[in-house]
Amino acid sequence: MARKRTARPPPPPPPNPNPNRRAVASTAAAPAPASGTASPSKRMLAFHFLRALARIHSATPVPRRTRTIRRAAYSSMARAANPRRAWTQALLRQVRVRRAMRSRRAVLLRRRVSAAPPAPPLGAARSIVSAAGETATEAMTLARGGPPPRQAGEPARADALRRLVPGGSEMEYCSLLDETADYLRCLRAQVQLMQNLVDLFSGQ
Amino acid sequence: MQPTTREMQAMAAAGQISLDDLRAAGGVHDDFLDQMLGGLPPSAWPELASAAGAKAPEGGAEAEGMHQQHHQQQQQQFGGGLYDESALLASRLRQHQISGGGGAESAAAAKQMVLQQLADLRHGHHMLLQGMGRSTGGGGGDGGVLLPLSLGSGGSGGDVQALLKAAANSAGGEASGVFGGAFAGSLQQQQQHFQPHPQSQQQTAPLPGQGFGGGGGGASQPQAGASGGGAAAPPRQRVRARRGQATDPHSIAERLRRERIAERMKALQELVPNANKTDKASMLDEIIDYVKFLQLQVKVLSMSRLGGAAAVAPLVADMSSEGQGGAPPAAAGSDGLAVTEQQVAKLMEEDMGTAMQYLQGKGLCLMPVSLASAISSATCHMRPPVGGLGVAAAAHHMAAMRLPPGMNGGADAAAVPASPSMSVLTAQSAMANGAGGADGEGSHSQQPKDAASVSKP
Repeated sequence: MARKRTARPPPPPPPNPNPNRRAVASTAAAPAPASGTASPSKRMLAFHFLRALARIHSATPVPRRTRTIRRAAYSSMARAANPRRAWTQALLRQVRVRRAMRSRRAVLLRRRVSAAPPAPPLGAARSIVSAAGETATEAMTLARGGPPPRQAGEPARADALRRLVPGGSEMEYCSLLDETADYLRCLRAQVQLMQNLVDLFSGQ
Repeated sequence: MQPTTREMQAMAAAGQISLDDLRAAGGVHDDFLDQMLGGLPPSAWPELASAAGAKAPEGGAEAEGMHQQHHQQQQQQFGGGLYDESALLASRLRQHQISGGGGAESAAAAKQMVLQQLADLRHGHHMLLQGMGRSTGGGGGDGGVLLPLSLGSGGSGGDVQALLKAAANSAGGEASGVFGGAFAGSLQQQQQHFQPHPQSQQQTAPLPGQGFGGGGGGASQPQAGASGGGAAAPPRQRVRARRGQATDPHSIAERLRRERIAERMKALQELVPNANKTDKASMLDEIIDYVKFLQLQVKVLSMSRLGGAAAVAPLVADMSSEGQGGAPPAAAGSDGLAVTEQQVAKLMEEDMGTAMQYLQGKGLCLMPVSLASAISSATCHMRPPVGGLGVAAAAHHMAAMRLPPGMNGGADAAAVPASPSMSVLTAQSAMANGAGGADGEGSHSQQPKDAASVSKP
């Protein structure tokens, strides 16, 4: 724990609601590429990710940490990136849904356990929770009118890309490419950050 | 057709000469006409320059506004045929007059005519442009005249004529008919001249149109009108149709879309390494693979983080105690190893992830047998460094190692005990390799294609 505290970058700027304001973005390492969008500020990335890491290591038990850390990586990436991006919003929505599901599952479990005999409640609760989760996602999809119809010049492989990029199933091909570019930049920054952290921790 | 030829020649001459200044100016913000006229040989145009100076402020703003827009938006498209008719005019004029060497006088005469016409047009015919701008709809803020020009150069002079006639009817200007006739006529006549004179076309690109715009525009009103007509989509890029291509809105939209996709693919190409593929399909494959690779890296790194951060503290104490112990850990280690191996084998059947986590929790890592044997052979003469390094290095090494997914019977791997010497060796090798350590270990892992070892670019 102490190691992590010291490893944190020098005091990060107070988390303003839009971390991509000019003040922070000016510290971004990467120059703005031709498309006009810069890669996310490394400081914001580090800030969010390290905070999440600290929370995980103090709260979550060991056996399930990989998944949690991976999710924390994506959430911190989404928070540090441009919040107006479609993939960012899709990622954050995912996080919210999962949190809602988890809280709902906890509530249902507790209710079930208290009300019904302890044997079968897990299965029932799980089915209920999954239904709730599904309806939530369904509602979201339906509200957006479903995925756009197949476009003319869109190649066949594009749906693989749609699956990879968060929120990609509802985008047009043109904007999908744009989102992919931004997503790639953020992903690369995130991977570099994590790699640096690993080196830092294992190099001591 | 006297006025027509006169206009054509005048405009061509004016455009031809002033374009050089224009290009020199490059996106001028000042009075456009001033530049246009100022650059002319003063001897030839003393009176004209002064005369036009008065009118310059009026038309300059509007003309240069349009010109500016053009420069900013359509630099490339200029060469591509934005001002075909002006190019054609210029080329024709060149052919007939300028090249002969007697161009000076004719140019001067032409310029005089141009300026006079500009003056006339400005005062009397700004309505024309307004009407034309509106009638051509939301084609963009390029100015009313240019829209019909662009459409016309697309290859249907008849359309231009019809368009201009409609505009003329709405605006009620007589010269509009003349203009329309001039344009259409020039288009139809000059289209064959287009090809051999790409240069002249480039040179004359913005100016004659601007001249027209300036002449017809007059005060800022026409600009307001034209841009108001085009203000429906002022920033919308006006794609000039190339010669021989259709001009209906569907194909234009299609072309726009394709261009947008192409530029996005180019931007992606810069991001993705190894992007020498010219084929769009393979480029897309490359992109998909790269995204998958990065996501895999995140996954692997998050796995390694477990061992690196969480397990370090308790295991540091462990290692130091083991280092001091010497013999007892060996004995205890063997028992522990057997149990561990059984556990790992059991876990590997169900899920690799949990197996690896279990190993990490113990400070062990999986590696191919060949590597293990190599390390053990080299172990003998290695001096143990600080114990804490070992486990951390093991975790790091773990991150770098990639086991074949769905290990075939586990024949290729063996659990490497975290005996001090072994882990030390691992640490040593890791440190020795330095920056390339991850790569080296990645290559060891017999999974070259997976490259899960996070290589540092």
